[in-house]
Order: sequence, then C-alpha cells, then structure tokens
Amino acid sequence: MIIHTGYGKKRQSRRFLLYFAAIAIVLAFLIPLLWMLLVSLKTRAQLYIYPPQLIFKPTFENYLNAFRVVPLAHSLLNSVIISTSAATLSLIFGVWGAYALSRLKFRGRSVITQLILGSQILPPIAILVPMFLLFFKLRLVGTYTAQILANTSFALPFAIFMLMQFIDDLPQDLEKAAMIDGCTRFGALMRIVMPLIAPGMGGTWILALIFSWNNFVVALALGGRNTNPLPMTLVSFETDRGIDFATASAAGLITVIPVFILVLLSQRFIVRGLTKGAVIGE
Amino acid sequence: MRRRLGLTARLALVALIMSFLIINATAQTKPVTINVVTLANAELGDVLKLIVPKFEAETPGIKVQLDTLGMDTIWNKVKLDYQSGAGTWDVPILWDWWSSVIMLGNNAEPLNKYMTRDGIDAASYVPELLRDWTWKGTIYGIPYHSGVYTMYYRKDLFSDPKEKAAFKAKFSRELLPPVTWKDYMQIGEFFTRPDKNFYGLAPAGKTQADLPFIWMIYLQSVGIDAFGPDMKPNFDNKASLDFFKLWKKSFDFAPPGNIAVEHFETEPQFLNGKTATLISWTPVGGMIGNPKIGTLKAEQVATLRIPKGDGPNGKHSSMGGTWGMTINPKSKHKEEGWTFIKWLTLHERDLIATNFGYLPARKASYQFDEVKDKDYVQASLRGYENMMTAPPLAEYTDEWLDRMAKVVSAVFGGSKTPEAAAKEGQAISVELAKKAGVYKGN
Amino acid sequence: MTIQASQLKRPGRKKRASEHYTPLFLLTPTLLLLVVVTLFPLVFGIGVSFTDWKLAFPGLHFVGVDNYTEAIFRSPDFQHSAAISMLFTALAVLTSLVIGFLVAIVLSQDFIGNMLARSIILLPMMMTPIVVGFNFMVFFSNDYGPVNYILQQLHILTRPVTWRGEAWPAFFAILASESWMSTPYVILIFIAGINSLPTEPFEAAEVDGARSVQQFWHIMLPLLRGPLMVAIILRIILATRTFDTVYLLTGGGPGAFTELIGLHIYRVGLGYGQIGRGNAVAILSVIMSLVLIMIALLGLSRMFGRKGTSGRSPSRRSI
Repeated sequence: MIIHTGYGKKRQSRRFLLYFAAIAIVLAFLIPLLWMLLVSLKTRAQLYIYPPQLIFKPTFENYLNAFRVVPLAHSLLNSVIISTSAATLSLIFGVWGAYALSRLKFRGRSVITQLILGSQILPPIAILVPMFLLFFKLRLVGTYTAQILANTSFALPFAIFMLMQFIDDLPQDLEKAAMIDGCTRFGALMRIVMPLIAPGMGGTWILALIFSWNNFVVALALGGRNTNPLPMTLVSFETDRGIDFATASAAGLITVIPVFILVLLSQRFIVRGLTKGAVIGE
Repeated sequence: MRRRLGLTARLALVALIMSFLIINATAQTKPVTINVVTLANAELGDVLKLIVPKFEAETPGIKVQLDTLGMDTIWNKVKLDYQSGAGTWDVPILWDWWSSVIMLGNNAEPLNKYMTRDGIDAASYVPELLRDWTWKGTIYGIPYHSGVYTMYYRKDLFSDPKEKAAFKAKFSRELLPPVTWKDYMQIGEFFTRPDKNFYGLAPAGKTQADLPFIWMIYLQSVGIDAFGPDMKPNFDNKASLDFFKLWKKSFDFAPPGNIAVEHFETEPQFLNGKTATLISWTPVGGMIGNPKIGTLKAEQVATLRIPKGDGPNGKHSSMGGTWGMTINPKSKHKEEGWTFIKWLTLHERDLIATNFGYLPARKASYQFDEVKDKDYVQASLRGYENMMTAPPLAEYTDEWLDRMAKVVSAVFGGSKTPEAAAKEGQAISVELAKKAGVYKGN
Repeated sequence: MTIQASQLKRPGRKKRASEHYTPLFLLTPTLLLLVVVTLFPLVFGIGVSFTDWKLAFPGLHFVGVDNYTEAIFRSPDFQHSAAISMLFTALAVLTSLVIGFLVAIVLSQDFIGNMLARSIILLPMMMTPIVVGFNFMVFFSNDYGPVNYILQQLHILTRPVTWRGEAWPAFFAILASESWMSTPYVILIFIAGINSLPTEPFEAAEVDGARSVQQFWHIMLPLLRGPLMVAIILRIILATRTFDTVYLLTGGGPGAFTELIGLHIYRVGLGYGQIGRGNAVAILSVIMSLVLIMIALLGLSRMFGRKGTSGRSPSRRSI
C-alpha cells in the first residue's frame, strides 16, 4: 500500500515531510550506534573525560585489539555457518509446516498447531540444562550440528507462525487451478505458493537468522572451543577486572557488519517480492 | 575371479592392520593434550597464554589447550560440564567464591596425595588462600592468584600543605589517611567538591557480589563475626544499621550515580583523578601509572588497609578471592594436569602474577625484591589478616551472595529501610545456612 | 512404490492418497525436530521443576509442588519480578507497536534511499544483546554517558539522573534499550504487512472522501490484524526473555526493582544452580506470557470484531 501523495504543491510538501521523517527515524535508531562508534575510537583515558568529547584524536588500536584479545574472526565464521544453516533449515521446514497447518485439513491439526506455536513461548533458558544433557548423550556438544539443530528448533515455531499469516492471506484459487492442471499438492506449494509468499519468506529468513545469531543460550550450552559463535566470544569481555568498553564496542561493530551486508543485499529481494505480492493482491 | 578378490581383500586387511599399528605407534609418542580453562582477562587468560609455550618447551610430553571465558560464562560452562561428567577440562582454574560447589559437590580431585608424593608443602602457601580450597583437611585446589580489598588514596593531596591547613581549620585535626570509618567519612566530606568534579570517596553500589562482603567487612571491623560459632548468622544488629547509614551516606561524597556502578567502574574514577580515595581489589595497584588506563602517576598513590571500626573492638578487616587450580575428577589426564599445576605454582611463575597486579600465592614469594618494593602488595598482604571470603554455604553460596546483594542495594537505592534490610539479611542467611546444613540453630 | 503403482492404474485415487500423506510428509521435519530438541527437554524440564535438583551437585529429591508454592507465596523476589515484568512487557509492547507502526508507514513509502534506511533501522536487532548491554551501560552512565549531559544542556533536567541506579529511571533505561533492540522486529513485520495490503479499499475510501485518520482506523488496522498479532506475540516473547541488557545495565537493581523475569530465571536456574526452582519459575513465566498474549488477542478481536480480515472485501467500503 502506498499512501496517496496528492498532486502538485501538496505532493511536494508531503515528499519533504517524508524525507524529514525518514531521516529523523534513521538518526534516532543510529544515535546509540554512533555513540558506540565514538567509544570504539577512544582510549580508556579519553572515555572517562566528562563531559563526553565528540572531537578527539581517534585511535584504531581497539579494532586491532578486538581481533587479538578474543578469537573474533573465528567466531564470526562460526556464527555465519550456524546462523545461515539454521535460518535456511527453519525456512524450508517452516514453509512446509506452515502450508500443511494453514491449508490442509487433517485430524489433530489444531492440536499440532497449538503445540508448535506454544513451544515458542518457552524461554530457551528453561530447557538449557536438559537440552545440554540430551546433546551430550548424542555426543554432539561442541559441534555445529548441535547448534544448528537447536537454533532451528527455536526459530522454527516462529517461522511457521509468520509464514502461516502469509499463506492464510493468499487466495486458494491459484493452487486449485494448478492442481486441476495435474500439479501435486507439493508441486503447487513449491511452484505457486512459495513464489507468492516470497516477501514473507525473505523476512522470515532474516528473522530466523538473527534469532540464531543472537541466541546466547544455545551458544552457552552447545558451543565448543572451535565452534563458539559470537555471543560466547563477546561475553568474554565481561571479566572481574571490568569491561573494556572501547574494545568491546569495536568488536560489536565489527560483528554487526556481515549481518548488515546480508540484510542490505536481501532487502533487494524482499522489495521485489513485496511488489510482486502487491500486484497479486490487486 | 573370486580368488583374486579374496586376495585383494586380504591384502587390504593387512594394509589396514599395518596402518592401525603405525597410527597407534605414532599416537604413543604423540604428546598428551590437557585442556585448561580460565577467565579471559589480562591477569589470568593473557598471562597463561604467554607462559604456556614455556611449559610446553620444558615438558615435551604435554601440550596445553587453553580456553578463556567470561566471568559468568566460565562458571556456567564448568557447572554444565561437571553435571554431564564429560571432563571437558582437565584443569579448571576457578574463583574461590565458587569453591563450595566444587569441593562439596565432589567436582575436584583431592590433591593431598599428589602433594605429599611430590613434596609440595601445604604450609608454603599463604594459609588464608589455601583455606578457601580446603574442606575438612582435604585440599581440592592450589591457589594461583589472589586479590584483596584494599584502600587506595591520593598521597599527593594528603601531603599538600594547603589541603592540610584547610582540613585542620575545618575538623581541627591533622589531615591523615583514614584509619577508622569516622576518618573515612570526614575525608569524604572534605574532598568532595562537585564544582570541580572531584569527590572524596568512590563506593560502588550496583547489585553484585561485592556488596554483602562490604557489609561483612564492616561487621568484622567493629568486632562482630557475620557468621558466628556454629555458623550462626549475625546480621540483625545495631552494627548493621550503622553500616547501612554510613555506607548510604558515603554516596553523598562520591561521584553522582555511583549507586549504580560496579567496582571496576569506580577504579577508572580514581585512576583519572576524580576521587581522593578508592576501596577496591588489589589489581588496581597494577593499573596505577598506566597512561592507557588513567592519568594518575604512580607516585601520587599510596595504599592502606580498609578502615576499622571506631569502637574499642575496632579492627581492620578485608575480603579476598583466590583463583585456584583444580583437577577434574572425570579427567583422563590427571597426572599431566597435576604436572601443569605443579609447574605453575613454582616461585618464578608465582611472581608473574604480581606484574599484573595480583598477589602471589606462596609465602616465600613475598620475600622477593620485586614484591617487597610494591606498596600495594604490602598493604594487601596485611589485608590477609581478618580476611573474609564467601561463607561455606555449599550449593547455596551463589544464591546467598545474590540475594544479600539485592538487600544491600535496596538500602542504597532507598527502597528499603536499614532496619528492614538487617532483618531480611538475617532471614536469608538463616534460611540458606539451614538449607545448606551448616547451621542447626533456630 | 505401491502408491505409484496404484497411481498409474487409477489416476482418480492419486489425489486422495497423496492428499492424505501430504500433511504428514510436510510436517515430519518440524515435528521431529521439535519433539527431540524442544519437547523432550521441556517434558524433562517440567519433571525437574518438581525436584530439588541442583546443578553439579549430588542429591535429587522429589519435592512436589514446593518450588511453585515457594515462588508464588514465599519469594518476594519472584512476586516482584513477575509484577514488574508484566508492567515492563505491557509498556514494551505498546512502545514498540506505536513506534514500529509509525516508522513502518514512513519506510514503506517509495523514496530514494529507503532500502538503506530500512537496513539501517534493522541494525539494532542484529546486535548481540550483550553488546547492546555494554553500549547502553556507557550510554546511560553518569561518568561518561551523553544522556545526562545532553538533557542538562537542553535544560530538561536540572540535576543528573542516575539512569542505572534510581528505580524508575533504571526501569526506563532498560525499557529504552530493550525497545531499541527489539522494535526493528516489529517494524519489519509491519513493513511486510503494509506492503502486501490491497489498494482498492483505500481507493474506494478516497472516492468516498474518508480522511486519513478514518482510513487508518477503519481500513488499515483491520487489514493489518495478522501482522499486528504476530508483532504483539513476538514482542511479548522477546520482552519476557530480556536478561543480558538488564544484567549489565542495572544488575536488576536498585535492590531487585528491575529484576525482570528473564533475569530472575537465569539467576535462580543457572546462577544459583537451583535448576528445580529455576524451571518452576520458568514455567510460571510461560503461564504469565500466555496470559498476556490472551489479553492482547482478546483486545484485538474486541477492536476489530471476530473477522477483522473481512475489511478486505469491497462491500465494506462505506465508512
């Protein structure tokens, strides 16, 4: 939906208002991050000067330190492996599950739906210990597999929930037509439904990715020396001798860059999907 | 055809067996790898990273894989590991406030037999440090580094004639470093100059485990043991009310907002010349004069013990914590782990700690010149006398620390009266001491 | 194989047979994963909540519902934590919905650079919560944070406020940092929702001369019922889980004033190592979230009637 912007002068002033609002919003969300950037460029002594300085001689030592004091590069790679795998698995299983639950009629559907969605409400911390012991018995603690499976299972209910909303809003006629033409249910799902809910899928994938990216509980329970993802590495900045805010900020900014690039790239895909969805809707 | 196949199969089998034998033979000469875990900070993680290659060079049979984790994470990870019995880490190096769970939960190997066998005398360690790793005569951990609560003050300001004159005019006594809590508060009042962004004291009031210790230190400083004979808790008394009033008042002489900070946030305040005094851990001593951390120079700072109570029973008190090296009972390489611990506890390694502001664990180390010269080491050493550590509440120690911290913080924040807090602290201590089975009274 | 064979012979049965197995086939991976990774530990966890199991400590006894009654009736820490969390969650949901909706309306418009703007506002949710905690620790600090300084320069504050140490300011600081981190989820959901809205009801409303406010209340909101529901539920779940930011910002203080339920579960279960009690508290928190979600959903259906989506049909164009 696009808000009608009118014509002529009114339109121009609305444009101006729009840009003004957009810039204000972006700034409001950016200020804490910009502050973090400032902190990451200060020495410890500079950080403690009050009132806080905006202009100072920046140092890039913290960025080098971030790679030196913690295994940042390695855990970044681990996070990418774990999160993208978990997000992709959640998306594939999620679309299938969401389709089955929202389109097909079968016995026990509502019970299964409620069970799946209800499991999302459980805080991961509540099942941390049993989950750890389970994966320990499976000899999977400290592996990528364990973390991918656990992250998938935490992201999956929400993925299903979100995708169900998109599938519910879709008219059934197209699938029915395809199935009359000889398409199977599965074929209709893959060829008709999935392209139509592409925007929803894009959004779901990103959400699942970020869920996994930031899941500290899974990392704490199932991470191992060589497979520790970012949350485990970043938390090691918290010691009994204090928090080196400057280095931690530098590390935090470094780690957000890959996700940011990913989101920036997939925005294109989402936007395309969104317009497609809008056309179909009309 | 079938015969040839059989022949190939047999040849393959022989080759397989041969390769197994070769692999096994190389495995036997391959060094054993022991896994060590400790805190990711400069004094522990970074130091060990530096000296582990030395150990590996001197001990060809053993390789060390060192993991460093954050403060909360390390304890959670190690607890999960204990629970599973996996024995991921052969040598966990841990904080003694956790030692109840480690010792009483049978999560560490008794070390007495190793020590007797290798002639390592328990008496060669500072007794206060070894005490926290000993339960009913059995030693479960070898102290590695320790830190003690110590008082730091601005020597230059205390000897400044102008300050001296002004102080004398106001309080009609000499300006001297604080010995009693009364002195401490006067000095706080005197140096507090908000217009110059300078304050007398630097207490830290955020809900965290140091808070109940400050309470216990105060009680001991006026002659009351927080846990009396038979572990009877003594928190509901007048001394506790005095403590709350005094300590709450001390925030008036501190940089605004200090009721919300931790000790590691008050340290930079002092080290950057914002406060005249600081009560915090030993490693601050190692940070003084480091231009990357603060503007203060080494000659501007001197150290003292924590103030004592004002009355006739007044005595100095302090709290300490020790990182102890333990062996996981589930470890498959206990001997190698012990070799590593033994190597780390030798004098020269013991001394490395002091370069990073920690205190060495062995008595003999305090005789070395590098240590003797350091003012803060001497002050901390005196702090061992009457040193507090976490009460032995077994699996309830962590809970006790946390719930008591909340009570103290609530008084500082003004949401609880000292009277209610003293009662609640007593109730919590009695409840948990009873649950832990260390206190039988009513 | 047999199905294929029968399909070849009798094409009429093909659809019915595959129709019958499709749900099973589609749901198997999900169910398998959930049963093994979530349900099994959950059942185990519920079982544990009736014991006095302690992490890494020997001895395990069945204690009945003691852990529950202790939390509900005898633990002031839990009682306060539950109450303050309810308030926190309600405010967090409201804040995020209002801000999220306004931002989504602006960012779903077509303008140059909107892709970049959208990506930037999603940045906070990509941050690891622990880093967000570090960041806001500095941000709200009295020693080196900008908040007090700016507010005093603007004469909004006359004295410095201890954002991390005074009860309500601390609550607000946590709310602000948590909302900063979680609102982008809501924005993302709303942008997707707004972009897939049909245009004809709005065109029709325009023809009928409805004002923007009316369009918003009577067409847009009912049409966005689905995304709204997703956003509310997600936000409630996220707010209940908050713990790293609180842990770092206030440590739950002053006293236990800002000890939200997420932090309380973490402390009792992992911190104290009292898994039995921790799990009981966690299960109580699930009930709490469920109640909040029910209230929100009831409220939603009150607002839009039982079938909010019917606003989509052109017959409803009159306002």
